[in-house]
Amino acid sequence: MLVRLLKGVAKALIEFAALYLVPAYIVSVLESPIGLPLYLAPVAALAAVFSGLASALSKPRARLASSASSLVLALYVYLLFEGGVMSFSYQSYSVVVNAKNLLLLMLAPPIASALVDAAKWATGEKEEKEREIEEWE
Amino acid sequence: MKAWTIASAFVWLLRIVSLAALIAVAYTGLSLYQEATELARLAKSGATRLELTNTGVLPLKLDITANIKVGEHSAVIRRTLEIPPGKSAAIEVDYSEVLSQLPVEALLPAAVKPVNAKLEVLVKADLGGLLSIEVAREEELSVGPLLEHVEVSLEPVELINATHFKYALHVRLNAPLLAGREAKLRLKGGLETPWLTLSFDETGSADLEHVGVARIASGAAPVTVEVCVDGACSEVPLTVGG
Repeated sequence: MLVRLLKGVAKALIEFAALYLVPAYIVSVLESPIGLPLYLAPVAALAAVFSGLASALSKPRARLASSASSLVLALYVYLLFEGGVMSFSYQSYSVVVNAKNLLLLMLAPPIASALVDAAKWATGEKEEKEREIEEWE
Repeated sequence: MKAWTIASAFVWLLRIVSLAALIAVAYTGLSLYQEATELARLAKSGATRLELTNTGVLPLKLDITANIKVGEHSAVIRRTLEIPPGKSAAIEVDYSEVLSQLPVEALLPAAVKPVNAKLEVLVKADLGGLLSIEVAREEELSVGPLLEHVEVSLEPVELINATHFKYALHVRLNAPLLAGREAKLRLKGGLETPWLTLSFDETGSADLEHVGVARIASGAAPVTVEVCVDGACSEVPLTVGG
């Protein structure tokens, strides 16, 4: 139990670092015109917490946490890409980046993963309930 | 059980595809950024032919639009380029070509003296349909004078009396953007001549050899040549004696 808990905490910390701390550091080092908004920090933290729970909990609850983590990760990617259209000024140029197609491609894996995990959790719960009913009969 | 395995494999496939696309876009974007920075430096130094190499892994489609506004008139030129990975293409945007798209009425005020204009440049770059970047820049600039070369020489031929003398005047003007238009000129200041008319040919050159009588004005004012195109005039110094 303790090992699982430690594994979950470590995974959450690594995921938060990968989602927010490292990108924020890279953006500041490169002096990029596109900064990393502060509101991404709680979203990244939430995704990391759910990911940690997915490692710490046992199935089928781990599936639910993993699904939630994937959904929050999809939200994080959507917010990171500012909905697919980013505009900013660089030197005396005005720049508009349209990354809607790339965003769709980036959103597909976490959403698909969330759906698969949610479906696994739902069927797992159903099987468990059926087993409970059979035992009671 | 088998369905879950297929679903998990599908999720992993999506992850690999999206990661590959992200790496391809990032790599192509960064390599093109380096190329574009170098090209922008060359363009600022006056180069009109720029060679762009797509060192990335995605096909690049470039759409360049230059819009120049002089007064109420504007003209647009567009260039579209498709550069596959590893290939190069030349971009040629000549400032005078943009100006030549303007109606003559817009250029006439700039014939002999500079006028203010606004240049808007919009570059759209599309990376394999995954990402597109629009870069716009607007700057004020000065257009003209369109008379690129003015050469006027006067040779005294014969003194008629104390106030008049016979002269031979040679005029050569060059203004490619004023091809087909007419210009008028006269001597002013210490010498006075009537207005002379000359026409620009299809290449924008105008030559005039004229023999006439000039009046010597009182005082010692310097002699200048007043050149007018459609009411807009400018003065240039005169070369005496050939």
